[in-house]
Order: sequence, then structure tokens, then C-alpha cells
Amino acid sequence: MTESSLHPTSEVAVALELNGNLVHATVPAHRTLLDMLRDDLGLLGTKRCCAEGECGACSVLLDGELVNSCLVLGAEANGGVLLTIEGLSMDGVTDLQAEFLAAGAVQCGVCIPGQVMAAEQLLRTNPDASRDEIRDAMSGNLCRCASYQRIVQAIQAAAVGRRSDA
Amino acid sequence: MATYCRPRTVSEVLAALANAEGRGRILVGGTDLLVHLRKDPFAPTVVVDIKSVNDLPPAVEIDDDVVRFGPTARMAEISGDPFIAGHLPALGASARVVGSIAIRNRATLVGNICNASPAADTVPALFVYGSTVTLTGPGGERTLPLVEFFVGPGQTRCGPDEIVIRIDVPIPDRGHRSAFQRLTRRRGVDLATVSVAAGVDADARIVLGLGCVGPTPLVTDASPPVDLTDPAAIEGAVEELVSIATPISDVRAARDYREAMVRVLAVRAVQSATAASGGVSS
Amino acid sequence: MIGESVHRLEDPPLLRGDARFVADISFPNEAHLRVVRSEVACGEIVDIDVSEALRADGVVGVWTGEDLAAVPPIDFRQIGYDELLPYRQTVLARGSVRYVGEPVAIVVAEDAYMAEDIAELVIVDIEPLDLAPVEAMVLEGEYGLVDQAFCEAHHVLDLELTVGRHSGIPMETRGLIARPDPETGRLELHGASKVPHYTCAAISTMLNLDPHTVVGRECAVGGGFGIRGELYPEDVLVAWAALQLNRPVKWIEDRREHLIAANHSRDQRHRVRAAVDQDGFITAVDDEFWYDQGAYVRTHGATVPSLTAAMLPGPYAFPAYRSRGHIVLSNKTPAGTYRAPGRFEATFVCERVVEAAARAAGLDPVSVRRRNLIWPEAMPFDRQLSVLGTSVVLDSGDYPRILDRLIDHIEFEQLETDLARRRSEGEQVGLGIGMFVEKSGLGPFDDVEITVRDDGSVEVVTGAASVGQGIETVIAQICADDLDMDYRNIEVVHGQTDRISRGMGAFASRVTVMTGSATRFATDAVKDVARDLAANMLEASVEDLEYRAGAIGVRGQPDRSLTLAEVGSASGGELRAKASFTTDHMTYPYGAHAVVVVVDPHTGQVEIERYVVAYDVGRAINPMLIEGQIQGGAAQGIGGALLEDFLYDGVGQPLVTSFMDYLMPTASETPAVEVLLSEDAPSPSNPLGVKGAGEGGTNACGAALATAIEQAIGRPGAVTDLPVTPSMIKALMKAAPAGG
Repeated sequence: MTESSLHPTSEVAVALELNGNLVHATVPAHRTLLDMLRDDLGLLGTKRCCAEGECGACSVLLDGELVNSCLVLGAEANGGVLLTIEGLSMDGVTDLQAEFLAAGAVQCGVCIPGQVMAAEQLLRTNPDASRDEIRDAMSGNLCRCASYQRIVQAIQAAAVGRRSDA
Repeated sequence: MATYCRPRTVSEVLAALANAEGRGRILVGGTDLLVHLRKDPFAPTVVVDIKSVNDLPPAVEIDDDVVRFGPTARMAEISGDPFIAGHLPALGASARVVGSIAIRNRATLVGNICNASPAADTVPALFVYGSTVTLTGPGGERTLPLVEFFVGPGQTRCGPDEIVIRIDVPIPDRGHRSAFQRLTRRRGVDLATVSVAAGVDADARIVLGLGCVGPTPLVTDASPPVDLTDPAAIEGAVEELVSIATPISDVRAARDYREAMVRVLAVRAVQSATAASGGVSS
Repeated sequence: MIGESVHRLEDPPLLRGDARFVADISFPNEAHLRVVRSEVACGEIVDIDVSEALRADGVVGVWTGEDLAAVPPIDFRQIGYDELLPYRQTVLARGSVRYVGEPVAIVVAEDAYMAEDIAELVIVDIEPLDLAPVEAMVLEGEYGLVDQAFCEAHHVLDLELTVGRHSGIPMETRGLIARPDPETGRLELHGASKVPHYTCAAISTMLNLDPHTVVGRECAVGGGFGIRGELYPEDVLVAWAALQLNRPVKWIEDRREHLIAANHSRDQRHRVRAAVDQDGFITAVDDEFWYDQGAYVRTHGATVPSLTAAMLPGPYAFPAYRSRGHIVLSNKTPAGTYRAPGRFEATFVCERVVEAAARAAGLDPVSVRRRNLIWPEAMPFDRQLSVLGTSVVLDSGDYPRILDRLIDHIEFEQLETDLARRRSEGEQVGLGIGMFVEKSGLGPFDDVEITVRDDGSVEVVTGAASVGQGIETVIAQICADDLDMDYRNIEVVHGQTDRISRGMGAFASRVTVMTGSATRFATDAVKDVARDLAANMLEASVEDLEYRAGAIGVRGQPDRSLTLAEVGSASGGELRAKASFTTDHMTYPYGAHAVVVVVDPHTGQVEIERYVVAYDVGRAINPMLIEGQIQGGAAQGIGGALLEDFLYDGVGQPLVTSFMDYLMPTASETPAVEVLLSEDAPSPSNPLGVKGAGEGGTNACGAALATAIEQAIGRPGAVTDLPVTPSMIKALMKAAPAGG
């Protein structure tokens, strides 16, 4: 056990697997994972829209689970495995992102990285979700352009594609 | 400025809280704590992250007559657990409507009670099962009924040097039925306008847990046995029980609407509990 | 190409997270600005103590209103009146505050976290005063013989109606980076502005700069909806601080700030009277309304109430009309435009009147609509009203036909029968229809410069701006259509004020109409230039040359031709042209909404079972984009009709300061919106025939939902206030059924 695990410190050393690479950062104790990603690690694809867990724009996958990165401390990600929109898009756009494009689901686009991450996790955990299940599962991701109808359509199309590939 | 530590044992947690002199805050899911940290950036909060503590009780432990929830039991696990869905259906249903998927992946049951919101989604259900809460602190462990845990909005009997180590939910006898009902402005992610959990025992006595109609979640006494085949009898019993509600007006709803809705939801919860499926809904 | 639902050029970087919004941009040595805001709604500033803040680690500077005393208040961009001048907002409060959220000081620090923390150290002592609403002025408009119509009326209607306080609330909060460029001596403004040229000019005026030295640099924009990109106090503060410090200054607001400091909208109370004859003709409408402008009059001046007054008659031929609009200053967040500004409210009022007229005359509302509509033969129709410096002349339209399209699509009679049956079985289900006229394409001009590059790709430089609406795709389509080339080879430049000398930006659904038309003229011009250049190269006379599929060729000789790229590269960059489109009038798209709702009899909750929008846009450049905007617009209108409201307590404290309380629709309750796009009435006033499409989805939501809900609960005429909440519906259900 290290000293810092027991004694409160105002700075925390963090090591995590980020989009397949091991990265290190030292961040203030209260810095959120969202702010650490954007301001310390320079990954700007994850968006800060409410910073209170009420809009989903900062959605990332931490240890394989969808989380709002504004409600996780950077310190908590120590030792974790993190996937962000940049990691998902490493080889260009995914099938899911291509369906967003085809469905015309993007308007202003600022919520889209979060929508894509939430949708990706939904496809991984509930690939056979019905339309209403998709709507409810995505209801934590606000879109003021209200492209919801098309986002749902894109998710359904991607699900069909993945089933036929499987 | 906030500081952070990640102790490995419960005794280290208690030591950290003692050293923090009232400024310690336990972190597990963080869905409420981080919002508070953000709103008060100057507070010298000592964040005590207990996710690496190795001698905590397990997240969910199912015993013969009780389900025990440790501090790390998350809403996602509780809402997806088939045993809970079968035996504590009101609790499972209430955990299923907490926030979004991303929130449920982090938020914990213990956190939900410690935040002590009058709108805490899971508390009405925990009430109807007669749950108890166990705290541990420098003076050792103590257990109290959950109903005694809440003092007021955001205030509990958990001392600054204590942590909630367990919530025990007695598994009701066969023949006990329960359900949860919640009213929101939005169908999607939203805070409750009113929530009600109903428990109906084998003798057809009704107990209600009520959210958003008082400074803390409320629980009623048990009604006398009710003829559950008679809607008027259910309504009459509910009318008596919900008289403890003292709602206020806010941006979500007016007081008189809440007063009316707590009755509507209570009847629905009782009917839902006693329907053939013993179903749950929100 | 025009009329094809091609994929958007903007999307790939947005989907990958590569697009750069203002918060994603940074410069070396940048400092960060945080605004200290009033927590009191109305009061006198006793003291602002900055001493502790000035001692904090990382502080760069702290300034209050006294330090900026030389900076004038923000002027009106649209519809200003002398009566409103005293209510303009200074960029920092001086002496007194008028709303919670009003900027009272600024803190600049080395990083954003420090700035936020240091702002907490500024101690603002304000002596609270009682709230002090004032009526600033009354707008009056009238045509026809109103009083006579009321004397002769068979029925006189008298309604009181209110619409709550809503706003656009884009997902991206506001932000700006001001960067003095040491090499050029210019001040760059990085961020969103719906009116980049105006904003740069206004800031240069306010800060006494040479107008050419302020340069707008637009980046990705996370939604506009009317509210983003107006000139706000914060924009001037950021520019001012950057000049003081001679280093880049960045400001990104947080969500709470956005909800209390960016423009609100709507918030109108109407008392409307109408004269109706025995056949259901509405012979006069006399509307008096009170518009809560909030604490100050911002850039829009009297735009919103003026639009309400001018557009309230909608598609109807009311022979006489009078409007008196009171502009009331209160202690709420200042208000401006939000998608379908003034019209969401006006259409609600107008359609409430039409429904009431039908009840009074004992006729069905659809036929009452039909007999009051302006007929296509009457087009163009002079409203005898004016707004935004133009007289309202409805340019084209077949209003009965759009109603027929809607009625046919929903199979109205069958639907009514089904709903009646369901009601008889105890279900609370209702249908509502709302008709509306929108406005779009506000002039007076737009310029476009087109250059063909050596590789054959085309650059289109516009004075327009993006608000996330897909401008690059639409303008590229218009350009590609005329040049007969691949739209993906066209780069559209917007929001860069040093690339084009003037521009009007993006508001009022104007870009497709104005910039699109200028683009069409510019492509024609560039083809002429190409012909002139190619004539020498092909040794042919200009008259013998024709444009074919991206090339100039000699008529009748398929093998003698030069591609645009060949002409362009041989000309040494001379293959370019500039064109303008000017107009004195707006275009007026129009449409109708239909909605079916189910109301829970116990809780008063409303579920939308079906939502249809029929909309005539004259000509659709990209139907997929338009339908997307209509669907999104409808969701916003539904939010305003059912969910969203900025509420305040008795001392002016805002009660709605987060997404948990400002209830925007989520995926769960946003219905699938069926869109019937039509092109019955191309605009005669521009070369493409287009009308703007951004606001028709929002316009009639309140009107249609009000009718549907009251039909569902069996209380015709009962819905008088938006948003109509479950609490209100339950109260209406308890009340005795209204007469008539």
C-alpha cells in the first residue's frame, strides 16, 4: 500500500489504459475525469455541456461501462480501462457512426460523441433492444437539435448490421 | 481545496474520516458528491474513496431471510438482479428508474440513502420492506431502522466519523407483495414528482413508502386488513394512510397536485402489487 | 443535385469527435475569464471588494463596472426605438443590478479553474430593492375597420392567454476567445457568432478600434436556435480584457450561467378579442399583449413583440386587425429571439381564436379555418403590416392546399371517428390542428465569392454563418447543381470576416434563401468568366461555347472542351466571380401541424401518440436536412408547450438553473414526427424559389397541442396557458366543462 492511498493528498497520480495506451497524469484531487481528459490529456472529443451528469455529452466507457465522465474523478480512473470517442474512431468511422451519417442524425453535433458512446454501449449490452428500449436507454443523452428519431433509427440499423455480420 | 485518499481497510476509512474532522465525504459512485464538489470548489473536502477497501461487506449478499447491500451495491446491479426482481420487486423497480444508464452504473443504494433527498427513488421501497441501516464508526457498529435514519433534507443520523456499512432488507414472507410507482414530468430521465412504494402482506395489510411529499421520504403505518378485491376499500385505506403526506409546491408540481397524485400512485401501487403478475412499473 | 438528400459534408469530424468547438481551441499564453454575476434580482451595488481576489494565486486581473465606464451599452441590431434606449445593457453593471446573473465583475486568471475559484473571492455587496417592472413602450399596428367589425359582430370572443418563458438552450454553452495577433495588430474573435460581421463591427465601435482590425473566426457551433451568437456583454468583456492584457483571453460559460444569462424568450400574456359573424368568418381581431422583455433590451430591440404583432393573423384573411404590444421590463434574464420568435406565441393566440370562433358559430374548426384562409388567388397578399423594416407581403402560398394535404395524410374523417370511439370507451384522446405562416430570408443582401482552384475544386466564400444547420452542405449543393459537379469538391467558407467584406450571418431562416441565391448568381457569373477565359484557349468565340458537366466546350464539337480545372489553372487564379443577392422582402413559408394526444385521466400526463407537420418551403434543397430541422423544431415546440418554463420566485430568484429543472424533451418522449414537405408555392422573389425551413417545426406546436389536450379532456377552450402541465390539466378536468 502506498502512503497516498491512506493520506489525503491534493494531487493524485493517475495511470490508466486510455484507448489502448497506458497514460500517466498527475491531477488535482477534485479534477473530474472529463476535465482530466480535456485539459490534462488533450482529448477534446468528449464534450462538456452540463458538467452535472444531466446531459450525457461527456459519456465514455470506463472499464466497459457507460459513465458520465463529469461525475467521475480523474483519481478514480487510476488503474482503469477507458474508451473515448477518439479510441472508438481510431480506424475512421465505425459502422454505428456510418449509420448516424446515413440517417442524417447529426445536426449541430456537439452531443454526438456522447450519443455515439452511449449507443455503442447499448449495442454491446442489449443488441436486440426494441425501439422503445432504445429510446429509454438513450434518454440520458440530451440533443437540443432533437435528432432523437434518427439516432434511434441509426442504432437500429447498426444493430441489424451487426447481427448479420455475427 | 479538496483532497483525495483511497484507503484499503474499513479501519483506515474511519481513521481518514476522524482526521478529516467533519470534512470527510465518502466516495463510491460520486453521482451526487461530484455535483456538490463542483458547486463548492473552495470547500476543503476530504474525499475518501472506498472502492479499494477490501474488508467491506459484499455489494449484494442474499441470505435466507435478508438481502444485505454493502456500500458498493450499484443501481445497475440491483435493478438487474433476478432475485431482487422476484422478492423485492418494488426495490428493483425503483433502482431501475434512478437517473440514466450512466448514472445507474455508478450510483449506489447506500449513496441514495446518505444523500437524503426527499425524492430519493429507492427509499420508499426500502421502507416498505422494513429495512435497517448499519453504521460503523469509532464506537463500533450500530443498527437502526431506516425510518429513523433521516433527519431532514440532506440530513441523516450518520455522524461525520461514521460510514454506512450495510443496508439490510428483510425478505418478506411468501404472500407479501409489493410494487413501486413513480410520476415524472418527462418519460425520460427525470426526478420524481411523487413516488410511492406499496407493500401488501399476507393478511392484506398495506404499508406505503412515499417520496417527494415531505422533508424526507415517509412511511406509513400498516393499515388494517383491506378487501383487495374492492377498489373502494383500497382507496379508503390509501386515503387514511397518505394523510401523513405534507408536500410543497416547486417547479415540478403544485402542492395540491402532489396531494392528489400521492393517492393515485398509492392506489396504482397497491393494485400493481396485488395483480396476478405482482408487477412493477414506473 | 438540388432536391437530393445527400449526406452532410459536416458530419465525419463531428462523429469522430474531431470537430473543434470554441471550448476545444486554445492558444499559447491564453488567460481565462470568469464573470462574477449578481445573485440579487434588483438592487443597488454598495461595494465590490476585489482585494482578496487580487491577491489570489494565478490572478491576472479583476475589473468592475467602474473600470469599464468608457464602454457604451450594447446597441440594438434590429428594431430599435428611442423609448428603449434607456434599457440597453452595459457590459458590467454600474450602480445597480436588475437580474440574477447580471455581470458585475470579471476575473481573469492563468487557468479556467483558478478563474472560477477566484471569482468566488470577489465580494459583491448589493442592497436589495423591491422588484420594479416598468412598461417601456407600446407597439401599435392596425388595419381595417376594427371597431365597426365588433359593432356588427354576431359573436364577440374574449380570451386571456399566456405563453411561458423558454429559450433555445443549445447543448454547447456560449464561449469566446479573443486573441490579439501581434503580427497583424488585429484582434481575432474565435467562436460562434450568428452575425459575424455585425459583431466584429459592433465590438470595434464599442472599444474604439479600427473596424478592420477585428476579425471573426467561426469554429464548430453547437446549436443556435436564435439565441447563440448575438452580441452579449460577455463577448465585449472578453475582447476588452484581451486588449487590456495583450494576450489571448478565453471564456467558456457553465450551464447554470447559460440558463440565467443567455437570452430567454417567449413570456407573453395576451388579451385577445375577436368579432365573428354567423358563418364563422372572423371579421376582426383585436389583440393586446404584454411581453416580458426581462431586465434589459438587448440586440433585438423590439423584434420579438413586433413579429408577434405582424405575424399573428397567420394564414387568415382577417379583414380588420389591431395589435397593441406592451414591452415590459422586469427583473428576469433579458429576452431575445428563440426559434419562431414571436410566432410560436402568435400562432397559439391566433389558433385559440379560430377554435373559439368555430365553437361560437357551431361549426367544425377545419371548415372555419378553410373559410378564413387567404386564397391562393390573392397572392401576393399585402398584410398592411410591417416588421423588420419590410412590409409584410405574403409572397406566395396555397394555404387551403396545405390544409388538404394534412387532412388527407391523417385521414381526418376516419381519425375523428376512431378518436370519438375511443373517447366513448373512456379514453381521453384528442386531435389538434394548428396552421401557421412563417417568415424567412430576411435581406437586405448577401454576397458570395466563388473561386475555381487549380485542381478543379471550388471555394465558396460567404458572409453567412453556421449555427449547426448544415450550411456547408446546402450551399455546396446549390453550387454543384449549377456547375454540374460533385458537391464534395466544394468548400464553403463562412464566419470568416476577413475573407469577405460584408455579410449578414445566419438568423431568421435566411441562409438558404439569401446566401443560396447569391451562390446561384455567383455560379452563373463564374461560368461566364470561364467562357471568356476558355474562348482564347480554345480559339473559339464566346458565343460558340457552352457549359457542360464541369467543362467549357465548343458547341457541336464534343472533343473540344476544357475542364474548369484546366481553365482555372491556365488562368493563374483568375477563374473566380463574385455576386450579390438583394431583396427588400422576406419569403413566407407556411404549414400546418396535427397532433394526437392521450391524457392520463388520473395524472393529467400527456402522451403524444402522433405528430405530423406539413410544411411548404417553396423548393427543398436537401429534404433530409429540412425534415431533420422540422423534427427537431417540433421537439422544441413540444418542449415549450408541455415542459419548459423559466420560473422565478417572488424576489426574482430563478428557480430553473439546471437541466434537472429546465425540462427539455429527451429521446423517450420526443415523438416520431411525420413530415409532409411540399413545394406548392416556390417563392417568386429569389432565383431558387426557396423559403427557409428552420422554424416551421416549432411554430404551431403550442396551438395544436392546446386543442388536442382540451379535446382529450372534454373541456373545449380550457387550455389558456403554455406550458400546459399535468397539474394544470388536472385542475381543468376538475373544473366544470366550459360553455360552448
